[in-house]
Amino acid sequence: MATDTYASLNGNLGIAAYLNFKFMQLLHDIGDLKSVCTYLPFTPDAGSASMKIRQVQPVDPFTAPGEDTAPAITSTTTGSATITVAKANLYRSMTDLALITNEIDVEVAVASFAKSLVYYRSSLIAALGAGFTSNTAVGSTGVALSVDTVLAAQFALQVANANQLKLVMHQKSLGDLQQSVRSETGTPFSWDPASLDLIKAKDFGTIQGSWNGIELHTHKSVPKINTNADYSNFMVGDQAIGFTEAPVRLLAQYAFNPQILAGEEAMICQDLSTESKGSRSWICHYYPGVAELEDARGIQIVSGV
Amino acid sequence: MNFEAKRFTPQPESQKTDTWDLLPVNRINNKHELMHKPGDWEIVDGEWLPILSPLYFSPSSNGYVASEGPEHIRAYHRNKGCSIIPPGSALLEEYADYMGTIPCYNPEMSNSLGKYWCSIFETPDVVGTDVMWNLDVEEWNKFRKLLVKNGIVRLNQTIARSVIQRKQKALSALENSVAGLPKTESRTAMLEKARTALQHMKDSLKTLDAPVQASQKNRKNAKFQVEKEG
Repeated sequence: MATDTYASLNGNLGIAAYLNFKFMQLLHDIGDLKSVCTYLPFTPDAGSASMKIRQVQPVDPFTAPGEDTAPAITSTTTGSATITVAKANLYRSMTDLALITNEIDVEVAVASFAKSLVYYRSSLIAALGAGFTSNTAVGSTGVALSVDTVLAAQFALQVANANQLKLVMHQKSLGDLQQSVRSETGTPFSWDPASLDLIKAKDFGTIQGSWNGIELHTHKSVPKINTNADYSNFMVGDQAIGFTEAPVRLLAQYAFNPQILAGEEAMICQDLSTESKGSRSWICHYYPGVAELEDARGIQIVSGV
Repeated sequence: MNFEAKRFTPQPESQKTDTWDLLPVNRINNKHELMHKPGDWEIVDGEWLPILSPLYFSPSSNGYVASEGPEHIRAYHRNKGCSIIPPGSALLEEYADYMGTIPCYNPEMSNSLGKYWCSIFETPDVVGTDVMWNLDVEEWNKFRKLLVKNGIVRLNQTIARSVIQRKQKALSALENSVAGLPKTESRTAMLEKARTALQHMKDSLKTLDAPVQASQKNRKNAKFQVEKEG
């Protein structure tokens, strides 16, 4: 029988666990809610942080004043919405010792900027549900999301002529809806899980499939309301929410040692390292803006937590 | 040279650090106050009470700019017919400071610290990362009754009829959807509760203000276009 075993040698000759160099990601919401919005490019050198969206009503009634009679003039019905960008940051700092010993990796920190940016803009969008007023909110406080509630929301938006409907909800509400669909008897409306093509086409992440022609999106940042008893989910048609990001390429020429992260024109990352302290710091700047474009194209859906 | 004699006494090295409890949350919310959207009402003990919604002050959202203060975004929602409930208003009487904060952290996001905004009527109990929210129902309802009494939120017969109509449709849809299902105690109780609440709403209609007569122009002098004469 061997006298030198794993257990006997481990104290002086081994270690409890060695380091696998791969960084695995903890659970996080990877969804991007910008796909439920209408993206409006921001003109960076126009002299204002606020962008005015001009809206016109293209449909007005024709008149039939009769032969040899002039009609009255019809004025154009107009509206406007404003989207204002504001600065948002993520700031990370780590000591040289942490980097030297590979306790943390620079690439991990920088990659987190892009993911955190996506989460942040999605959280801005998710919070807009409570503001829809034109269509009265559906759902009851403390009651799980159900087929009836979603249909009521859909009917309200159909009456309002909104189309290309998208439902944004918390993951808990999605589970409730799935349970409700499952318990329906003889429903003609099928549940289409998100196919790979659909996920690829829709920026991967929030889309969970579709039901009855409604795209289903989830995000963890859907806020709680009614004294934390409910989620403020919402359904919107196209052009309900506007979204923009101020491009930061102009800053590159002024910023000290900047890096505009590849693929993200809207995010600038700057090195703020303090060499005298032996630490490295990076700050990420992002300038998003979201706003309701037309209140009647959206409806709040209240469902129990 | 200073000849004054002084004595030093060694002190134990202090290990104490200031700590305080933090509320675990999955979303550190933004500063907000409450507002009321016109159609959001419920009946509680025979009284119409407003269902309130949050009005977030979130940079980048709906034009809110921190340096300009809350009035722009309040005005935006007022223009949509919402009633704003600004903290500090004298009309709120003893509930003037109805919003408060709780120091919190998000255990899923690097334990990021912040403040969680909520009303003074909510008190969370925490064990581990499980949070159970308690609501002081009596005070919450008193607060909402005050909003109606002091005219911060308005209710009249027409709004009430619109609410009743929607709730009637929702109840009908619910009754249709469960018609083929076995009658259980819980399902029967739920339907009965909804029917009772609806009946209370209908019964209380007469206590509310009737609509005022709309001003109508004499048709002869009216300067509006018609689609068809005669």
